[in-house]
Amino acid sequence: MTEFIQHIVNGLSFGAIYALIALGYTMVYGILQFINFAHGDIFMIGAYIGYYAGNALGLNDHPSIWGFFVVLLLSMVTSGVIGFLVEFLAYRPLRKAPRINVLITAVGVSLFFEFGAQMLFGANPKAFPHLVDVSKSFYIGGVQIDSMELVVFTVTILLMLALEFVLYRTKVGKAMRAVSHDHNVALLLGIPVNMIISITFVLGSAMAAAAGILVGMSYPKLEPLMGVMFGLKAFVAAVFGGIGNVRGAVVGALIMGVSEQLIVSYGVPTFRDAFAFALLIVVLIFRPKGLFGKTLAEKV
Amino acid sequence: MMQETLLAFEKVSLSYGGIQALRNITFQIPKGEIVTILGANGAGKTSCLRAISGLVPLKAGTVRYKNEAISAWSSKKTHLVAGLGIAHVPEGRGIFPELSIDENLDLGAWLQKDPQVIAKNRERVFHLFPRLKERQFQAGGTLSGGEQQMLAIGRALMASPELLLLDEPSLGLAPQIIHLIFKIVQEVNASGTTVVLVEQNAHLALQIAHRGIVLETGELTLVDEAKNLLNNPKIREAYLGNS
Ligand SMILES: Nc1ncnc2c1ncn2[C@@H]1O[C@H](COP(=O)(O)OP(=O)(O)OP(=O)(O)O)[C@@H](O)[C@H]1O
Ligand SMILES: [Mg+2]
Repeated sequence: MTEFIQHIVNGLSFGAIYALIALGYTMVYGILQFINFAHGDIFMIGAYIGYYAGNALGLNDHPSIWGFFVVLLLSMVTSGVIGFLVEFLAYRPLRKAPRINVLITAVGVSLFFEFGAQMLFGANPKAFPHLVDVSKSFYIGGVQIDSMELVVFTVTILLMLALEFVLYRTKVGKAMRAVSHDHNVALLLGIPVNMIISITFVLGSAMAAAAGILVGMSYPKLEPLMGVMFGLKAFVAAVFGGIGNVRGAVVGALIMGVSEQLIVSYGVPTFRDAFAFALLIVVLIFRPKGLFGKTLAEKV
Repeated sequence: MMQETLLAFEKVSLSYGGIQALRNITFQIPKGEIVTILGANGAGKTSCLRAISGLVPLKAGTVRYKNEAISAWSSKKTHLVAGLGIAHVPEGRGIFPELSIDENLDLGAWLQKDPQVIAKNRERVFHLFPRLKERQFQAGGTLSGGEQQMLAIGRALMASPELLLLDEPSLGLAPQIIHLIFKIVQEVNASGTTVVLVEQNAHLALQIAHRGIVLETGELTLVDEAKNLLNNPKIREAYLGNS
């Protein structure tokens, strides 16, 4: 039993990271009805920014919690700006174009980042610096919780609460939800729809960057293609939760993280990555709108 | 007496791809009036309102508001039109179903910075539509059709508009609700707001309007005072069931 709970805890910490990425997919889909395939690469860039910032601040030799927050913030802000630029330069000019054009552009942006990163950062894996001392572990009734998991849970919970606050308690958040329902009506009320879309990209990218830092710290290895698998799984989690639904993405991601962990522990470890694909196929066949999704027909 | 013109169409043409929806339309909306735009399905009524709000660019001509040629920029900066004091309640009401009634109203006040004005407007909306107050925290999507129309109008009033554009507010509603809504439109107009009322229900619309504009397949066929239109045999035959 303790062992089972242990797997659940470990799975949740994976799931929390997927959730941070999945939020960006689902928010952008909600507002523009398209899958931003470059989102996983923003996650990768966020991790690399953490790598360079962490080293520049000398945190590897002197880990500190404040240093960690500085790196986290720096990466989130920079990635937010990159997300803004991606939307502004690549997607905004295509606002009235057929959706397929935007999708193809997104794939192009993704390849641009992946190959750009290989040129800029090198194709070889890099070791992520130790930002905080995470050597300690805690025990709650026999269940081990690593400091790293604690960091993951703390950061994700804080960020999700912040996002929840923005979406449901602020004027901009109300506008984001309004725009995701109808751009034209929002315009008629004077809501600057393009600006709201920019904010959505900035928030989603910042969350993905935070996930990048957490992944960098958990498996201290960075590579330019690391966004592909993480992005894909987060995307599946978002579809599973009901694409466009913010809370659904979080639940979907947590279920995904736990399921993977259970497959690794009790099933066939090599099937870990296959699980996401199997889940995607099953969801698309039996429940395309996901766990909490509205019927997609409503949007089309 | 010379009336001040609030809004003017000057030779406006508008099309959707190959489909021409408005041809060379010219009319004026005098300040302080209720003007109804009448016409059958597809006559171009909604397109007139979209031309004002900038939701669709004009193919030719000019829309002037307070003498400014707003059509020069309105389709590129559509969200700025609301800032001129123009509130457009679209066809189908356009309420946000997942947002609560309160949140829908908050968004109506998007451009309103003064919290006191917002509070005053909200009070006014709840006074006009007490049912909205009862359902304040409910999701907009849970409202009945009539209540959704009330919310859509209420949301528009949150912006203290000078010009209110209403696109078929009576559509699909029970007669008592229509009467209630039309009564409120009259009240809003009496308090100084100019109203453009698009309607298929010509009889009702002409009863509260000062003036009517009749469109037929994208062309303007008649502009006259409402009482004249009510007695015009052609109108009676075409739109009033000639009873
Ligand atoms: N988004 C659009 N795309 C293409 N054609 C359109 C579009 N909207 C309207 N039209 C066409 O333009 C013409 C005028 O339409 P409009 O909606 O202005 O008429 P309407 O008088 O409001 O009709 P209704 O009473 O049905 O609302 C019609 O022929 C219509 O089919
Ligand atoms: Mg219409």
